[in-house]
Amino acid sequence: MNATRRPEFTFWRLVFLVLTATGTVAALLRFTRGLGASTNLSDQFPWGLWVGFDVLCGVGLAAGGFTITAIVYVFNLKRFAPIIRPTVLTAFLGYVFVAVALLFDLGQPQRIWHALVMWNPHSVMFEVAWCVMLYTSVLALEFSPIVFERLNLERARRIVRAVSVPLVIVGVILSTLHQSSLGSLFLIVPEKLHPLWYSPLLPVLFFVSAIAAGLAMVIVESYLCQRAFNHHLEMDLLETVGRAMAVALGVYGILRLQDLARRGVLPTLRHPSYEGGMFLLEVGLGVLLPIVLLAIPKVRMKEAGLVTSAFLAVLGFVMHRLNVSITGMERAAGVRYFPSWMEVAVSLALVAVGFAIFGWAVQYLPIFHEGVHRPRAVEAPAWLLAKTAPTLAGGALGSASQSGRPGRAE
Amino acid sequence: MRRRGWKWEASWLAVAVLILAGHAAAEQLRLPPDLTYSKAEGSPGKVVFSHQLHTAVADKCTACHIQLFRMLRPTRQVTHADMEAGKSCGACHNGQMAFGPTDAAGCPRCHVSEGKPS
Amino acid sequence: MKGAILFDSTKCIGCEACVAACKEKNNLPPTVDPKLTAYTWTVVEQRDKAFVRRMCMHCESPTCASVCPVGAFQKQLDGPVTYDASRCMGCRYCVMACPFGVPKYQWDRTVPIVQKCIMCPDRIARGEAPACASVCPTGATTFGDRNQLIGEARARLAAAPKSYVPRIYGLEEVGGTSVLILSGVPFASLGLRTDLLLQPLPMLTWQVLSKIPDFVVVGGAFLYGIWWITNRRSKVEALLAQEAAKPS
Repeated sequence: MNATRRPEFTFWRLVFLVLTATGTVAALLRFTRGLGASTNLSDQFPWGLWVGFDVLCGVGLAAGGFTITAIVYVFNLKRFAPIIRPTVLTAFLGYVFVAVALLFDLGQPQRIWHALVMWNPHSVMFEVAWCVMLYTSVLALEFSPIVFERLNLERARRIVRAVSVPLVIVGVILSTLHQSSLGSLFLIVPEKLHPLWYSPLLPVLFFVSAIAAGLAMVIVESYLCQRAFNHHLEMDLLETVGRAMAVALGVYGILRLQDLARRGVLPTLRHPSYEGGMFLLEVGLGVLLPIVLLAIPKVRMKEAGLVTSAFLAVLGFVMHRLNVSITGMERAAGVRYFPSWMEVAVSLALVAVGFAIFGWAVQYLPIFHEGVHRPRAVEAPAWLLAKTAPTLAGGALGSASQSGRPGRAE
Repeated sequence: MRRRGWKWEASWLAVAVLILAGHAAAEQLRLPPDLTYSKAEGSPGKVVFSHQLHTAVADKCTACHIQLFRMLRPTRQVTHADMEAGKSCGACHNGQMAFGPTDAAGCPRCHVSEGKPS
Repeated sequence: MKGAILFDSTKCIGCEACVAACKEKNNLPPTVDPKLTAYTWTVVEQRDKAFVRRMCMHCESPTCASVCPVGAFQKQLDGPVTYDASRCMGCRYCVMACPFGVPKYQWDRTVPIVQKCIMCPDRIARGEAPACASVCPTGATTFGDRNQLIGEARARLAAAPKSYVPRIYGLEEVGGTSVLILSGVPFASLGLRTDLLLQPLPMLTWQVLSKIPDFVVVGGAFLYGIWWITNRRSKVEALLAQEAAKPS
């Protein structure tokens, strides 16, 4: 008797289905009813979750791409080579995620190509658009050898590999420019962004935090890939990445502290405030705690300690970007902002799809040099939890400290 | 006959001053000149609209402009049909907020027959 | 002539003739919103006993023009900051960045654009005043050359110092604006921000953007240099290893 095999409906596959279904409904609403009906954005608060999380965090969390490729190809630390492929894949998927998210946020997404032919070099956003477009192409090129390998196009693979180093150098420069420029976007609103986050150093802070976040994502990814595909990195490689992350966080923390002290903002923390609380949460959980944990060799040497620190760093990174784009802008705007269910649904669905594509790619492409891996169905969902957990936690913490349900000011 | 004292002249002087002052104030307020709606077919005569009269009743220009009347290039024709539908003058001149077109006072309240002063 | 508008709050009686004229000139829906929106490009607000007009300030160095990635905003030579809807892709950076909170969005439309006062550029080109200035019954809103209006404003401040706060709002704010405001009460009580920088805001981002070409060259050279050193080092190591592996 031949029974047809039913697809396994694990809990996480169900989650994926729910997320993509809700996301699709939200997407339909967004494009048939307009931004006003599908978001909690307003004239007082024109940028929300889709800019603050999808764009600002998406680009930053994909920073591992330029960091690791630089370490391997420019600094010639070949022992980190095994990390390149999954990191470049994540980076590429991350930037595609950002581009798709932008199509939701723009009022007229069919005009997204306008920046290609209508230039305003004085605009930070113009520079971000171009650097992101160019860098996504670089990432596609850096990723192509993997595809060529799979398709047995040896010649094409060799051509691309031959220009690896210049490609990586161009990638580092483009990344540095747009990672910092995402911070520069906010330089133009000194009278609106809260002093705890506004700083002339915003571009530098965004760049350094991107490096830390990229390295943190390498560790997080390694953990997830182990859970899903039983593929893991050697502990001492991870430990070195962890130490580099601690250094990056340390530099970031010092820069931030120095800047706040010089601008005389630190004393304001003495008076309890919503912004002060969010700031302490962000810096405490996302910067200080991971540094402290990583400083303790016993913690650092254990995978659990390393992964926990990395998760905290990612959480802190997401909190920072959301604080800059949302929390810090609320007081001047005169309104509180919380995303609508449609905004959340679209963002989560895009993340879920990104994960699904990652898993699919790992099955059919030589991402891990040992060959293709089939995910263990029961473990696959681990990433969904891991990737969304920092965001959900950050969002939950953020919403818990906001009193009442905010709405648009009329 | 009782002799009129200095108070008589004084009050006339006060009235004159008030009229002049009021005139001056009105001059500082640069209202649009009176508008003439020309006599159409079936109409007993032209209608002259005075902003001076109406700004006493409405506190803002947006009470009428622009949902009832244009401002920069004024409409020159209003019909009773429009008014009865609540448009233009009819939004207020409907017999409730202000006298209506079928009011007992009759047509001369708005329409000026040729030759007669308003 | 660099067109500018002088709004004297002491002369404003809150009649909203300017609001109505603007609506008609720009074919906007007649409903007057209490605050600026995509469909109401100027409003008159009552603040205690004074009236203030809110509209685009037509900055000399407009933040909106600087931040728009596709250059939809332009400061015209004769004064207005105009908006080209055909370029706009709806990123809303202008809405976010304007220090006066002027550009507004059509949140209700599926194909939305930004909207704001554009100072009737066609009327100005014909030598006429903008619609609002042409209907103001008290002369609270007047139009003219920016320098002449500054002179006029100074004359009013000098002639009746007790009636005015001794400052022309918009003279220097964010590098100067083409809408100048006089008031008999503190500007802050009219809802105007008095904590704005006196330098044009675009300078804050240009300081960073202008360094990009240099950065690209220096950064490229630096990274190439590192590669050259480390590559050479690893080549030397490889060679040495080869030598060591050779049977002697």
